[in-house]
Amino acid sequence: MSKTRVIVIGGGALGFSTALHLAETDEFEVTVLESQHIAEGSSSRSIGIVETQYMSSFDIAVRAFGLRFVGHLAENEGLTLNRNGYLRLASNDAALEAFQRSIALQREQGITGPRVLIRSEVEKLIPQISLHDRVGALYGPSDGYLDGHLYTNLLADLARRAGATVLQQAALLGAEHAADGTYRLQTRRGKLAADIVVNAAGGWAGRVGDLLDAPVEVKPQRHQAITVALSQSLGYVMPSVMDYVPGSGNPGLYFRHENIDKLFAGLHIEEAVESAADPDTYFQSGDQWFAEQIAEALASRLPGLEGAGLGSGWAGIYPMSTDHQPIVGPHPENPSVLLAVGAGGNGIQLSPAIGKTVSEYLTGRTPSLAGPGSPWDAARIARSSATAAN
Amino acid sequence: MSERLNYASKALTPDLSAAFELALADARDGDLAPVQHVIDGGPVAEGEIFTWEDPAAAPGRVVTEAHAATPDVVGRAVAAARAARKGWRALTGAERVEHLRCSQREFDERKVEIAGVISAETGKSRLEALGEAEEVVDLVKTYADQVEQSPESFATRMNTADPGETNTDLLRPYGAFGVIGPFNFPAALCVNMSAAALLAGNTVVLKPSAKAPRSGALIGEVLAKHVPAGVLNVVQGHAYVGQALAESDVDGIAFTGSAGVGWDLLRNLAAGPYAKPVLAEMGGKNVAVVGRTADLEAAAEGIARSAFGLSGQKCSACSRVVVHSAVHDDLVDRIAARVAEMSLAAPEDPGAFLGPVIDGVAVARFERAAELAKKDGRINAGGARPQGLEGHFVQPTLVTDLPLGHELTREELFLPFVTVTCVDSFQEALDEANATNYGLSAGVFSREQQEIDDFLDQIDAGVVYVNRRSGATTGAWPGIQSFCGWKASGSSGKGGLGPWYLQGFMREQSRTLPVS
Ligand SMILES: Cc1cc2nc3c(=O)[nH]c(=O)nc-3n(C[C@H](O)[C@H](O)[C@H](O)COP(=O)(O)OP(=O)(O)OC[C@H]3O[C@@H](n4cnc5c(N)ncnc54)[C@H](O)[C@@H]3O)c2cc1C
Repeated sequence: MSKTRVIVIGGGALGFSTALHLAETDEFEVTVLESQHIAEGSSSRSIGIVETQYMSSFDIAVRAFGLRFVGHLAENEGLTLNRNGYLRLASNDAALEAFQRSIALQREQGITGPRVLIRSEVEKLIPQISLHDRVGALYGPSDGYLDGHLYTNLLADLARRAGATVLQQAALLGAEHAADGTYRLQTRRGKLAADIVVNAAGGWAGRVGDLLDAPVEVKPQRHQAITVALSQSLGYVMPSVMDYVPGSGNPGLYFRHENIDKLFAGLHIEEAVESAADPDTYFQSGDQWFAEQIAEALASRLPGLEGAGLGSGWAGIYPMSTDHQPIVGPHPENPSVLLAVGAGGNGIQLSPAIGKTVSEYLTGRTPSLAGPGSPWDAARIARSSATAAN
Repeated sequence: MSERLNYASKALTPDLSAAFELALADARDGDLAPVQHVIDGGPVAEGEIFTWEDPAAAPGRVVTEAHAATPDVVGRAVAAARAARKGWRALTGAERVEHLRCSQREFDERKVEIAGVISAETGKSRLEALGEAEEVVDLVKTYADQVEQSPESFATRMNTADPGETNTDLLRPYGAFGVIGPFNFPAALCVNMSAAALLAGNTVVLKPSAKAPRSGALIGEVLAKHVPAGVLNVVQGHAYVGQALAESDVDGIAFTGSAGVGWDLLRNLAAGPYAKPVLAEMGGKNVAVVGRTADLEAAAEGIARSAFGLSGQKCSACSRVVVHSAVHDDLVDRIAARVAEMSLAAPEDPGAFLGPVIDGVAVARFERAAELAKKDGRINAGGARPQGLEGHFVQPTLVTDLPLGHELTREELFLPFVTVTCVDSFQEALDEANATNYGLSAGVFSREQQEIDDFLDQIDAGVVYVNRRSGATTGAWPGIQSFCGWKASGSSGKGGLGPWYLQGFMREQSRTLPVS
């Protein structure tokens, strides 16, 4: 019996994690189509933080899988995973209580390292920090970061090694959906036939969805990051620090170690606050206003970094779903299309769980992390489009 | 700290005791961030986090978290050490000494802090820990002095046969050394091997014990701070990290630890196209020989100190006594009386003489040994786990009446466990003393010069002590004793702390040059 032909649209972290998980089952003939080069979308523009400091058991479970997955790649495949630790700052006692609950939930999933630090402990960890308006932090010492470009390329190599085909400069241009459910895809590299198509097109997922006759709403949001040049090395590896308050509607400062004399910094938000950008034409460099905002935020949060200057900045896309959770699984109106989209500002750390989930759907198993009824269930987009129609 | 301590010290001033307690509490709180590697002068936080628990507390009190190096991290550390070789060996001996003197001074200033970390990780008593911190300083000093005193950094002018030539014999560094440290002296032995390698002109990748990562990290941090980037690198992790280091592109290995691991390392590294140097210092089954004329008070004191100090976890610990039958019972009673007085406690207790053993594996080894002793011999003191102490504590144990050649008298246990074997002549005592594969240290107690002479002539051991009340087989100190194990105890016939150690990190080059 010939293998099911799966074509994955999009050569980013989500596309290649999916391709790798599928290829490893040996049940599929897997091809990845990428319109430019591997990781040329969001996946190379990310800060690459991988962590588990979340508040719900679901959000933790999918990230714990991600952390273990990249840890495995670091031990066995030469991936550089810098385990610099991750701190989520708290502005009030209610947040600290939520952190305690998070720790309990993480323990249930075998993550025993995280703990709550009081202000003085955070100051001991990061002597340059000022926390006058913060009470403490949730600290995950095993969390880390990686380089999104290298990571995605490693996934691509591993997927190839497992038998997948990767076609670059091979944009999907159009699609014919036959009555038997199979697809004929027009690409810049010619026509290809598929039994199943996976939409993993990041900020382009909406367009690709339209081409496949499997619409999905993903808003590409432009987000920036910037290099902070230190005047002298810190002598320790700066943990990742996230000063965003979930649900506040305001972007929060984050920063992390990059190398001995550089940090990366940015502003994070999980709500879709801005209007959508065009992923083909958005401004890919940093803006002056952003640099000013970061300079101000750093001056108040890290006043001890004397003499630090801002280096070059860049912008990338958060592919946001309308409810800020990824959409993963069979398209509710078109079961030949699987969705692996909408990872927003978390797509690197969620890519392992997303790829695994798609592969479980396609092998006919109940997804172990994020199946039907879970926050990622793609069925929810049918309900929301139905409400929109009424 | 103005007091000078060594391993025979018996008391501390109240000030020093108080300072130690603060340092211990600080170290037990741990640093908040897991211990990081040092590569090319910068910190690196890659690799899964592993933990180490306080052996002197109920299970679960984590004192240290550290990153375990991935193969890639080891590879980068070795690459950094290799890249730094040329610049470091280009310096003169005196210039390298200058760098190391900076570390010596910083170690001296931070002795109490270092002792606190050692005690937190190993549970050793404050006297032992402060003694070790003192030794750290003296080790750097001893080797730096040796380099300063060696004529022209180990160069020898040779005879010349041809008036058109000059002939010189040099000792030159091998290149980059992997240094693998043990848990029992987690700071001093890392310094011992690293400082010697560095002063001989080698660069280093240090892997401290996974049972005392912060002690090794502290040493690495200070040494690295005072040399150019890449000259001293540190990678943390379990045995497989040491394995990866040994199999890497380093030019030699310095190892201190168990004989099993050490000799495997030697055999594996000798299997290549050529054998890289492996300077290995391994364990012992160190014996105290007691003749019929011995001062039994001195013997009992020296044996008890060497057998039970650091809970028997010194490479040079006394684990066997061979005694003349005429004084056997008397000696056993006197040792047992001392055992009864020994206080077993965590290092926060100022009266502690024995701390815990290092981990649950050591406790299990103890329980098995005690069972065997009960079955095949007689337990005269100890033999059980003490009541009311949490942590890996075991009683100092004295065993007699084992048949000659029993495994408890042959294999290293690394526990506070000493056997007494009874013989009928001094020659039999020497034969029994030599009947193990090990040959690190040995002591003799006798008032007969002929016996002492025979002992010195016949004993197969590198470090020997005569009538030494402060320690029958232990207490070696840099510049005073060498730690030169024979047979299975050492790979090179030359020991750390001694006058021939540095040379082991160098190889000879004979240069014949035209007179210009
Ligand atoms: C500044 C910044 C910081 C971030 N920090 C983090 C972080 O710390 N941690 C984290 O987890 N995430 C972070 N992210 C988010 C993360 O980068 C994204 O969520 C993730 O990269 C999305 O991956 P993807 O595979 O969905 O999209 P992409 O990487 O964009 O991949 C989609 C691919 O599809 C291709 N494509 C588009 N159209 C077509 C077509 N018609 N035919 C074929 N191919 C097509 C594109 O060329 C692109 O390569 C950050 C993002 C930004 C911008």
